Amino acid sequence: MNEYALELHFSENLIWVFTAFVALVLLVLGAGILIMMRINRYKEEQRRQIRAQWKDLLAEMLMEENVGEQDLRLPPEFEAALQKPFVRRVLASELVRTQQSLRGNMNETITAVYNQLQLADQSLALLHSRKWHRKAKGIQQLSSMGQYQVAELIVDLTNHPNLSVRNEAQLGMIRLEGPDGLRFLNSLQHALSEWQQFNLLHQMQLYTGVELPDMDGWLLGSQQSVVVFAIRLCRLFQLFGYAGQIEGLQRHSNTAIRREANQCLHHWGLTELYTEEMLRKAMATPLAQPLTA
Amino acid sequence: MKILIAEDEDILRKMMELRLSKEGYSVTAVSNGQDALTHLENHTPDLVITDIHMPLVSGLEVVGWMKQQAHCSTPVIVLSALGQEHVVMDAFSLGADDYITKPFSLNELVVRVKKLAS
Amino acid sequence: MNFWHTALQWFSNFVLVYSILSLGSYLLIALFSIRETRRYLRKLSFTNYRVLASSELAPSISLLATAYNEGPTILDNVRSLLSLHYENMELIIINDGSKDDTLEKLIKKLELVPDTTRPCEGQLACKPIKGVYRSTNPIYRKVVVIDKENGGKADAMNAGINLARNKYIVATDGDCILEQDALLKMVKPFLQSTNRQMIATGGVVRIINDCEVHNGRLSKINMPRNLIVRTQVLEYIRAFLLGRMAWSRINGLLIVSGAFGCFDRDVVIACGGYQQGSFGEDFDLVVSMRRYMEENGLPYRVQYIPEPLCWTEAPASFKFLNNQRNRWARGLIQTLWKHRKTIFNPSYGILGIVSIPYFLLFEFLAPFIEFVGFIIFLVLAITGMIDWEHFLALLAFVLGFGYLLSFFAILMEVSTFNQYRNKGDIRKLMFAAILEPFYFHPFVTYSAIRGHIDLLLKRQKGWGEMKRTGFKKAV
Repeated sequence: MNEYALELHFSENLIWVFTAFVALVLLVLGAGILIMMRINRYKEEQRRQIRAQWKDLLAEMLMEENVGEQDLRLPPEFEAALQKPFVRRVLASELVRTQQSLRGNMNETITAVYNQLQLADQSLALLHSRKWHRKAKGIQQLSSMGQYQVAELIVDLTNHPNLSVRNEAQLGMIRLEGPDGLRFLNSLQHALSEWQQFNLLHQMQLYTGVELPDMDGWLLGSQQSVVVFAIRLCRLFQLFGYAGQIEGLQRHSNTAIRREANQCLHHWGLTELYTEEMLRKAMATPLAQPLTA
Repeated sequence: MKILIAEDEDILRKMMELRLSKEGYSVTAVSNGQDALTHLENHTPDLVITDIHMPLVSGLEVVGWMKQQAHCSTPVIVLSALGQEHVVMDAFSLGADDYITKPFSLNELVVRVKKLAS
Repeated sequence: MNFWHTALQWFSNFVLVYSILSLGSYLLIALFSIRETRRYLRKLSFTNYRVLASSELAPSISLLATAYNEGPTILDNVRSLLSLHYENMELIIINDGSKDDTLEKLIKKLELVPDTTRPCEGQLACKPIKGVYRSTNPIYRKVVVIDKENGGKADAMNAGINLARNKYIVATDGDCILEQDALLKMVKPFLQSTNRQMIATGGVVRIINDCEVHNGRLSKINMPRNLIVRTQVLEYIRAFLLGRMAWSRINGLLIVSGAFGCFDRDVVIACGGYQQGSFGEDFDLVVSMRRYMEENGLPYRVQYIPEPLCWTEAPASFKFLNNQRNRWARGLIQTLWKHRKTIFNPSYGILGIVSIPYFLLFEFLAPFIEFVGFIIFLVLAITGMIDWEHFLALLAFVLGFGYLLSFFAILMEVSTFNQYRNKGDIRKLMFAAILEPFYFHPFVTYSAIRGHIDLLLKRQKGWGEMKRTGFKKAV
């Protein structure tokens, strides 16, 4: 017993080795903190400078009449700066940000300036990046800036394993193609979270009044989150023509779908609002009278 | 006619400034609520356009402050990305004269400015 | 002599193995947390919270804030809470039997009238409610004020939960400063979970001492001047940045800070709400909620949001720090004892196998091990039996590893949120980290042990008051 204890007794040397190692890592960490602070400060300063330098120029370009018709003529120092990838990245995200605040024909103007500065290749490089956050950023930029030629690339990404990438791709499809962009729902493999449905519906709000594609496939499909989303779309767009299908969904095997269908019909004044208990029972016994046409 | 714009997005602020200057107004633009208050202490613009969501001091606070001071008759247009009912209600109850939800169009802004100016 | 020598060796070996194990696990957690936090930050740039703020589809929440003798600050607090971005909410202020003019101020300023539409009784036990008020002024239409007899924080929260009408409840202290988007960020995980029910979310709490507050909003972040507070800044960064992310990832998170947390109201009620008479009611609530879900075989999650959303005041003197840590220790032991059934019980999943045992072995036992070690060291030093070289080696090792964690945490802060931007702030924080093991750590260890002893001896002790020094108000 005694011997065993002595064997376990760590030698001082070993502990000192440990300590030295820890001290070394500490030094590296300390240096890391300082370097990180420098990098942060430098990057921030750079970004601030680029924004400050370009904001007036960009605003003037955006305010010019018939943008995009004449050739781009930039002051030489800006021309040189534009070659730097970092500058192009900052400019692309600034344009996207500005576009989010503006409406109407300004959007086309912003797209024209984006094209004029030839920022699309930069966004495309992001799209092809292996890092998910760059990929998502690329999708965001290309779709916001109306780069229709990438629609097929983006539709493939709506089933991407990374959540942010596929969410951004789904939104991107609507930005690019409007209601037709919803075609990604046909081949959707992942459930749409409530959050993502908010985002998609919010994006769709811009198209109220535009005719939607046929909803039957989605309303009667097997993807439950898609069914819920389709009901919400019908509600948002006041598609009373689907009331019959939605009425049937009040007896769907999934409670969430039953609830959503009931709420939609109630919103339209076509049925009473079910209590939780009625919702539970609804599947077994039809509660509401079938609607006549 | 003098207009004060408080908006934290650089490009958007500059665009509003350019557009309104083109319409013949004399425009001052600041990037946060604090600067707006400082400006208001020394100047009396004829119209104020302010974003709600800004660093340091929010647009609603600017409106609230103005209406208690010598600027109480100066018309204010509030800009916001939050198109929520309660924000709109709060803005009007604090004394805002008009409310524009982002995304907005610059033409719309000009029309509203003209209406308030007349 | 031989027996003592062997015993001593055993003890020092034990200490070494214990240190290596705990510090090693911390280091793994740290590496993991850095990755996850950066991921969160990147995701943030694709998240448009405006969508939720203005949507009528956004889930309804009840924001609960308790107030006890907060007359001087209550109106500012209400104003600050009302300015948060969220449309679909009600704000419930619970006046927990204040002896000052808290209620009168509320009634006068918010133009309150008695509200008879809300039943005063609910499923959770609480002290009698004297009255429920609502405002006649449309600006304050979201506000509900509950006036009740004094019963402590847990009791007041239960009263609020009883009267809350919405699906989710958000608990906060009246005197915390919340970020404008805090509610949106807390609610989002509830909407994102597709296969497991989200039952609670919690964000990062930071220390507000010496920061500048303007109209109920944080306008400038400063590093606290007081060394005790500054050390707590470090402590908070270490705990939140390093620990909770990892716990959340393995779905083993047990602490959602009482200062700011969002919960599913149905589950809170089903598990009995806040534990009255507990000194750690926030800790107890999450454990109870998890137990309820495990016992009913329901898949669930508790999510941590790695973003500083809530700023609160930290004790600035040894006296108040002692009160706080004493109370925490009592709360920990109470909760562990109440839920002792779960310890190493595989039918409670991660909760029983990992989370609770971790709190038992590291959070609960650590002060005792340190204390016993110190006593043994003293005895040996006095009797001249100490092997100084061995001791120094061990000390250097343990100290070094402790510093490693602190520095890791600082690195993480700098590389993620980077909130302390005044010149020299980070240097001051590093300095506080170096001093910590020599005065702060022994002191909080002492407080924790005193807390355990007080509880065992059933010594009556209240919550321990804290003098509010107030944060610097900007002019």
